[in-house]
Amino acid sequence: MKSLRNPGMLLIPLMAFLLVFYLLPVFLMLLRSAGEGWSFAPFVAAFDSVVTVKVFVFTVKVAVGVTLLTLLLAYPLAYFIVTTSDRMAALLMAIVLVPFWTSILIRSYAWMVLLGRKGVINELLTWIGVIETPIRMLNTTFAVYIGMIHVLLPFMILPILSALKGIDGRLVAAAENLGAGPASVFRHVILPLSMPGVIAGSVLVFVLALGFYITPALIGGPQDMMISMLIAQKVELYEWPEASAIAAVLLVLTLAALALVGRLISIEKVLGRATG
Amino acid sequence: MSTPPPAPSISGSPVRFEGLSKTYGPVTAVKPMDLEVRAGEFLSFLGPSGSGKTTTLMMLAGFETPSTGRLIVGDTDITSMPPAKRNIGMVFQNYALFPHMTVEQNVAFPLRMRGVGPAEQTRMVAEMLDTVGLADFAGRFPAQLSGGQQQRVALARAIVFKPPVLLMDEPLSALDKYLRSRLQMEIKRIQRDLGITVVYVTHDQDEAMTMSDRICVMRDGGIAQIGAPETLYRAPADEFVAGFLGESNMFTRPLKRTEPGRIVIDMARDDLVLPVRQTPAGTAVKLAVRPEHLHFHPDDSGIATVRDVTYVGDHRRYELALDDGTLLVAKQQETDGITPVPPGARVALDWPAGQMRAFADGVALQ
Repeated sequence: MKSLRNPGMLLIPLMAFLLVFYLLPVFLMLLRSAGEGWSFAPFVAAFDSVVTVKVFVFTVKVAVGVTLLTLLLAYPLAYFIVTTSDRMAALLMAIVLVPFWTSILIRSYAWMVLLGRKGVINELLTWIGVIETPIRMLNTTFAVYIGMIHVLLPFMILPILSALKGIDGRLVAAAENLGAGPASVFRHVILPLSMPGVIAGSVLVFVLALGFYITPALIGGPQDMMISMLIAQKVELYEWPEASAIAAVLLVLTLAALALVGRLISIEKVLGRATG
Repeated sequence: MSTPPPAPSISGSPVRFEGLSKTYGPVTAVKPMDLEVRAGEFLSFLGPSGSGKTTTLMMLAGFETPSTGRLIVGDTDITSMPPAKRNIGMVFQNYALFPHMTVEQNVAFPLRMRGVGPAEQTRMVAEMLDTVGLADFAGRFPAQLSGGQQQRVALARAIVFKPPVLLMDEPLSALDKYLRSRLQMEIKRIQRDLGITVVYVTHDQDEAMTMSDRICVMRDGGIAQIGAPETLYRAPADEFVAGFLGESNMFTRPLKRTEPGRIVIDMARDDLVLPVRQTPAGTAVKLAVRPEHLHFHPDDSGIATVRDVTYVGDHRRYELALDDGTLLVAKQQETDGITPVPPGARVALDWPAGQMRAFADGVALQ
């Protein structure tokens, strides 16, 4: 094949698309957040409210909590998948991925069916006599966590899995040969070498969790309002400047989180790819 | 270059293979093998891929479980010990350095695993890095080192905890020729200084010849021959070893007659008499002669024609064709007063009876 003189040209269609459908709207949104008279008035208006601050704190809390819980669930599973037989690994991957390909809306409704007052879990627990009256699970923060973790689990598992798969088996053999027992091999070789996957997965899950809308809206309670729900509410009330201001802060928050992770951990160092 | 300090002394242990074998279902990877590696000896397993040499090494390291037999290092039976408990050093084919650790941390790793105190660790690592000439690279990561430097780190890491036995799995195969020969000498020096027993696996016969006290030639999962490099080169036990170690001209000639203790071979113009230990049953034997032992001189009534001459610096390489089409290679030392024989010339061959090996059914007769 004849090589292109300038391969950068290949990026033009994508760049044009992003410019028109992404950068421009973001820019317009930022513009709108400045309000009519170029002031911080919409920001003041939005964050002067106790509700906005509470929603922000709640959103960050949920995003951090969901990220940590997802990590705790995903790492052992990813580790099991890389160590088990090919058949078992394929089965587990299917179990992980099938919900991933299912609409988020359908999954949220499924949780409603499971967690509801007359839902499958309550009926079952009552029938076997563990409880006498149904437990309130739907429309609670608990339900929000369950639903979000379920949706976000694949985003954590896949990067960790790929990092674990990338670890050279000879490094494990070398560590064993040098006197490391199973726990030491894990602590000194496998865990540090899988960190790029852990970081990538955590960032992905955290950023996605910050912007969650459907799941908390459907299975959370009235107290479980997240930023995107607040923005939607403001838009419905035609409070465009305030909605834009909140969105702008969310954007800055997300970028700050990414920058912090980038500063804290040098990916090159973790990967051992640093060059002289 | 300053001379490196002598390496801290370790005493090597003997290694005994007692009927050791490995089968995977119906496939035999290693046939039952009995072998004793002496304390402080450098023994190489040499063979083509699939000959069982790596499987043997992996059983010794503990990464493969033997199907039968026992493995004894010193006085300890290690047959069913996990790799981590064996206290055997190993240099892997691609070094297997931990990419997320510095050179210093890599070399300190086996000491850490053994609970050596931090101060002692630092001292031993510094001493070891000095021995392999990498004192200035302690803070680097493996990715920042050249192939040769990585190889030295792997060696340092494998011997810093003073194991009685060191295993090396084709450790130099990824390096270029110049670096390889330098590291061969360096590994040999460190091994002698330490007195450590080395079991080395390679498919490179030059490497095995240069470094080993004894070579164990492997074929189809079994030992083809074991002995000092000189013995294997001069007196290969069979055709396979003769062909595998060094270059050999191999060709078949008819037998004129057999007598007790010797055979007479029809060499077209002359008869060749070779003393043998056993007389062959057939009517022909296979002969092997090394190119440097095959001498010739121009002679219009000779039995061979010069096909091609190549100048290789210290010698000239001749391709000689017998009238029946057999091609022989001869090396002629390049010394003053020798005029090269041109292609097309007829030459007479002087068969070096003392340096020729005869085989029947693949087995040496002498």
